[in-house]
Amino acid sequence: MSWALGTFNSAALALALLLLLYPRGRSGDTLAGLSTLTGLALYVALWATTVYATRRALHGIDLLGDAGAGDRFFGQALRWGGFTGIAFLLEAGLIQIVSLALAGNLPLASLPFLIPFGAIGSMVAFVVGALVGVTLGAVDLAGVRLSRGLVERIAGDGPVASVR
Amino acid sequence: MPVLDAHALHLIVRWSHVAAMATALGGALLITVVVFSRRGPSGALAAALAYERLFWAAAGVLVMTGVGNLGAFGRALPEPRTDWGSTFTVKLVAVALLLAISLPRTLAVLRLERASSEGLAAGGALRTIYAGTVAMLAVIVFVAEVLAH
Repeated sequence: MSWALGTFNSAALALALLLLLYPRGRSGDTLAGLSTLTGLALYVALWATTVYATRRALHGIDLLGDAGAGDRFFGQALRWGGFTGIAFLLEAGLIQIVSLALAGNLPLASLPFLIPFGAIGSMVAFVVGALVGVTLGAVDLAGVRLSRGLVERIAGDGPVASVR
Repeated sequence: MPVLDAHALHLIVRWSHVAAMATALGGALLITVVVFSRRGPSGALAAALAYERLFWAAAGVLVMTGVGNLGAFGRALPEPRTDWGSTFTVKLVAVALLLAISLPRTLAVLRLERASSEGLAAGGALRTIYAGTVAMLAVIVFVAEVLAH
């Protein structure tokens, strides 16, 4: 379940950003700033982190079987969304550093100055990640509710033994 | 990252994009045939579960390589006001709709697994949602073909 929800969350986030940026004509410049390999590495990092965070957020929570699990899931979505924000910021920084190093353009002297920016950025990333986590958590819960209705319809169609 | 030749990398990205769509559409077609068939309903749930795992892998690769394909355009990416841009926006919306119908579909299959359903193949609602998935994937392939031309 965390595989489907985590992949859905990362794909939904990427699509939402594209749908926000492209109609305003801003995605070309954004994408041009990334090499294809760097872009792929960033998405893989986001995907893996989101699946891991979703798995941890669902730990001890039975979304499909417990009707009252939604409230606890929101708290977890906030916490693990914040974690995803910080983790993705660090991963993105690391990917950029590796990318610059491979291109032979790594400004070693400026690396220590990244530490204070990283500390402030982590706080911003936590808040943004938590907000995105709660928003996507609400979408996930809507999917859970829709699946319940769908299964009730399937149970009405065929000889399903017992459906929660 | 000048590790790989850019043309080779774009070819790999495009191949992965097409292969992921072939997996998603081909698998959905297969499951639709299974749920429309009344033969062997006990195997239908296992097949649907396997497809759902595969579908989300394909969906992740599709979005990832889709962004990679856009990255290959860079600043040459056509403006949203052009015909190509309008068609691309339609494709983005169609992919968003596909994801929106796929999440409850996957969760419903997981619920059916818990309910130890024997009647998956008989479910009209399930037939509708898998047929809907095939239709949505076919629309996306059509729009992608228009964009490629």
